[in-house]
Amino acid sequence: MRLSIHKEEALWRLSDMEEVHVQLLRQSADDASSKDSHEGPPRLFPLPVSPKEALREGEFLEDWKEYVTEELNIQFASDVGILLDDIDALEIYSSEETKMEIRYRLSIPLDHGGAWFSALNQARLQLDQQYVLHPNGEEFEPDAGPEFIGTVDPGQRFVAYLRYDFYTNIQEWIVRNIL
Amino acid sequence: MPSIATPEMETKIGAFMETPWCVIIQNDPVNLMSYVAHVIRKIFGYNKQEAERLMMQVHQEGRSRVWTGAREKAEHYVRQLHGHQLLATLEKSE
Repeated sequence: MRLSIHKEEALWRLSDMEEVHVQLLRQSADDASSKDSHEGPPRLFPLPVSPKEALREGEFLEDWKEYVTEELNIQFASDVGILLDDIDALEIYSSEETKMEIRYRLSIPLDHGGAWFSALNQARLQLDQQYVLHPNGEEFEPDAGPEFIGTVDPGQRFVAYLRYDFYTNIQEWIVRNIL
Repeated sequence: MPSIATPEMETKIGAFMETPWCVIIQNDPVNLMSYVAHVIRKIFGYNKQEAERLMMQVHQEGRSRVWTGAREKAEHYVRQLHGHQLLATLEKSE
């Protein structure tokens, strides 16, 4: 299961993708927009002051929620929309190099790199909150065996970790090569 | 000879002495370290070395004071940091 990612003049390419890669990329939009998690949205829209200051800053926080949170909500949704639009332009190909097996390729404008990073980051932030991927600040150990944390199903947690890790790899490449 | 401050002078001194506000970035386990340094450079215009020093402070100490100044500008910076999905708050400078 190999995926190539490289930069050209005005775009970057995800190629040699199999069906599973495409599904994971589409899944990132769902993860970013997850409404299942109660913790996710507050992490995407944190308070601009510390909790102890919040009582004294009531009016400021109301304005913040009305204007800034609303603006960020639109911005983040737009980033996810850009990722989905780019995925819709998926190319299917096969070649002797792929032993005539079907592969998928995405050509993404360089200036969409920020939106892709944002969408994948939203997905990771939501997954982290929803599946407790950093219990007590420590990274989740997939090899440690099933562990129940609250109502989180260990199997679903493991799959969430795999998605989280896949998104991380693409983000690391984007930071190094595009941002 | 006793000195008598005029109201105008007091106002100027009061404005000058106004407590500055600072922008704090808090650590979080999800955001990539390279990304945090990139965002600090992009928003505050620090050089690479300074941005990486501040990022390491966030990572190791849990928070870093990345900017100090007028409240309005601090609010603007916190909004930008939230737009990059970093955890940031503004606080009165001690």
